[in-house]
Amino acid sequence: MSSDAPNLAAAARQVHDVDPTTPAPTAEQVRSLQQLEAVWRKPRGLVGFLTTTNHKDIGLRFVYTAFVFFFLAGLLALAIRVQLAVPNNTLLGPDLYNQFFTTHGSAMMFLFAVPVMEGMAIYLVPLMVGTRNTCFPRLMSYGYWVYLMGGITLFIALALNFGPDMGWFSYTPLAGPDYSPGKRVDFWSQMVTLVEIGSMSGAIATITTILKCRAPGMALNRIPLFVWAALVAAFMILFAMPAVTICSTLLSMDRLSHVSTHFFNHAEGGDHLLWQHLFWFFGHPDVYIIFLPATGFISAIIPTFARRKIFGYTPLVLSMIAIGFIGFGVWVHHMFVTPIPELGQGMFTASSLLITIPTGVQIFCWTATLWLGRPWLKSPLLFVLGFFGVFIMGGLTGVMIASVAVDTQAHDTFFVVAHLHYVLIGGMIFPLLGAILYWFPKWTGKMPGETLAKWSLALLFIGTNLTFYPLHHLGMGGMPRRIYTYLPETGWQPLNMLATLGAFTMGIGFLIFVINLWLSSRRGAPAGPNPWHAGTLEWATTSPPSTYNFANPPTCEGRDPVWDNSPDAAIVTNLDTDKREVLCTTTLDAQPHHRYEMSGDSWWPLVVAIATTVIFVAGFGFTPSWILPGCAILAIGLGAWFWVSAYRSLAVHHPEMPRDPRKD
Amino acid sequence: MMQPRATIDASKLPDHAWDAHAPLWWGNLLLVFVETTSMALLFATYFYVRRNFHEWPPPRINEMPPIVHPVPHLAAATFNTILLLASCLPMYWTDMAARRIDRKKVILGLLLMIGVGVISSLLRWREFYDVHFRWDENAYGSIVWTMLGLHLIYILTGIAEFGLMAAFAARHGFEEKHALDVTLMGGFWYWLAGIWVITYVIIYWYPRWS
Repeated sequence: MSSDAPNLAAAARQVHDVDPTTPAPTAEQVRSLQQLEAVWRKPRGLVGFLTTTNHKDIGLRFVYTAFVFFFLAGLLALAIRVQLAVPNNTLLGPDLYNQFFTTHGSAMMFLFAVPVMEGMAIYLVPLMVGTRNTCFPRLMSYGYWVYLMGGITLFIALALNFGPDMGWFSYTPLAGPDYSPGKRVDFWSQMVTLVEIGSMSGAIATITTILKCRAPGMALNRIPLFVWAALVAAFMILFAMPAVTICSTLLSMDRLSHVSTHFFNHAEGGDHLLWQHLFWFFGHPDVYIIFLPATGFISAIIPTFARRKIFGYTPLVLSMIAIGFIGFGVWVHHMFVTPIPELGQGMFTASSLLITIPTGVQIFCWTATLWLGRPWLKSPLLFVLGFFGVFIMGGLTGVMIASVAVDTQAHDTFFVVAHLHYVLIGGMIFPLLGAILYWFPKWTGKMPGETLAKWSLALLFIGTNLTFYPLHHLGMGGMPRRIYTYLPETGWQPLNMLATLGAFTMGIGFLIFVINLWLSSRRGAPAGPNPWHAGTLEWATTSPPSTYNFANPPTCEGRDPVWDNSPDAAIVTNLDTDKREVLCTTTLDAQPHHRYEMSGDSWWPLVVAIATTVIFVAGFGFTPSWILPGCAILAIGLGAWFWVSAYRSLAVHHPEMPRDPRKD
Repeated sequence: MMQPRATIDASKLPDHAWDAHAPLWWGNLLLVFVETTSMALLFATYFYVRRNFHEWPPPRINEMPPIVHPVPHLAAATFNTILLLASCLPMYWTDMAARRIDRKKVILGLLLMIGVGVISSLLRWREFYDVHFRWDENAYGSIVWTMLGLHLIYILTGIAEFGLMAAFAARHGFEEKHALDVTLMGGFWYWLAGIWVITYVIIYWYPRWS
């Protein structure tokens, strides 16, 4: 097979790269590399596409899918801005406007922000810790499929003109059976359940990989900062996402005929504020689930382009962990205008202000790294500098509305819209786009174009400020959120028009960003394994990496192994090449412990994901009679998931094992 | 001539690990985190909804005979609690047999555990009737049925796992890799019994105290 030749050569080159003095591979080495490739190769064509469990395929798939939803949600945002550009506009009616802003918010939060970060973690974590795949490849693949089905559910609803129309946090009683008859809310809540099941699956695979599959020597105090960020964010997912799956399921049970529970029905002892508590117990940690990986990107990009080690590794790690904990103690600041006790208001104001301390520590460490280094102003670093500008602005308004007095005034106005977009675009989009430019050479083997990247950054920076800065003033002037139009007498038109112009500037910026990547992937300069001269292990292998990442998994002698490892640093050899085997190390010190067989490509994650979709969308969304058939497929799928691979590993590795005990 | 570079020869390492050294052990623990959070949120919901009632549970007046203080019956649930706690012993015994790769005892232990699971589910069936309310009568009924129901799903999951493992061991044999699976089933089952004790106290005793 001709397509294997370059891979093989690449792998041999990779051994050579780790240690350039290594002689060309011997015939024995070539044979074992060939075997390694055969074992890790996925089937060709559609079958391979549907069954792959390689973390690079799944990770990039998460990223691509998230960006498709991002662009759809972005188009909705442009429509919203056009509608608001002039008073008394009739372009979108009130109903379509409600559907658009709800789908925009839901898609951005559930279908873009969290999944894209998970995708980046799934792609990068195994490479950064020096292993071959995530620990639970099929679980991760299942996570992708349920996420995809959740996203499709939401957009099908919108395309059929019954998209959800009650806002992305779906407050009851508006979202309850009395005020939202029909199926609009159900599409939303089942989308949420599916997507968050996917997030939790991905988080479990990520955490276990980080704890058990690190390169020998990569003790906890040497883990790359992005991996720390992914670890803390994944733990937050485990404790935050159950809240939203529970509350969306309770809501669908309230709404489902023949079930009709009363969790959010005051007449029968339920409580609307219960919804707000459950939702925001997920919702606020979710902001940090999005923001922490972004800080990880920044901590990866800054030392590379400052050309020195990061300043303050330990404070950075401690800040991330602190944010992880404090993030669970601030949810009530979304509920300051509900009747909560004054003591509670004071406490949640204090904890919301408290979170500025670890964030401040991080910003200090990054600034110090740049200050002490010799900054190399390439586009990934420029995007990070853009982050500083936009995010700090959003952070400042955050400190303002963390105070109950200010929040009571600003609540439900465009001031809050301005704040949250500054925080999310500044804190998440800028670092993410920087990270995509930074790792683009690793994915494609090509360098991203600098000129267009700078243009897109300039347009995005101007566009973001032009769109969202005026919203502060509109909010202070009294313009509420979620109104589909306003009267000319309000005097809101000039600032709204400015914001609309800004939105289109941002749109053009994103378009140029994508065009740049598309052009670069076709005719960018070849990147080589480590074009930025960075220090983490993903740069110690070829670009793009082979399916098994490392021909010989590396070891780690410092926090930046590519910079710190001595030329004769040890490598891991003699892993089995007749199955997908990796090395497991101890949790704290990463001492070599045992060999671990990873499962191969499989259809069952897809089958189980379809069963999950039947249970939730058909069962909880439409009629409970679908739940049992869905559970039956689920049970068969999970049974086969276990049985087939257990049988295969038995047949391959224990041919002496009795196949049928009756013949014993 | 170059020094031959240092290597870590993986073939000298075992191809199997027990307990916290194994990735699956961690995966299982993390799933248990998710499930514990889910149960804890239902407990919080229970106490949150309770504030909307003067009497807990509310008097049952829709059906004859009316009951002033319809606390759920204790018998089935108490028996279920004792059964689930006691079943940790045969589960532990099965785990120990699995660690010795004693296939016959493992199958026996798993069959026993399937029996425990089935009896526990039947008792749960009875418990639903002991609540005195249907899920769609008031928020009290909704949350109690949901707590009992979610825990029932855990029991059914346990039965399915035991059944699958027993069938595989009987059909194809039993090796170290699956010994770890049995250990993890044990961990899940101890968790299930432990979280049930909390659920039991909340549903059956809290209304008697308040």
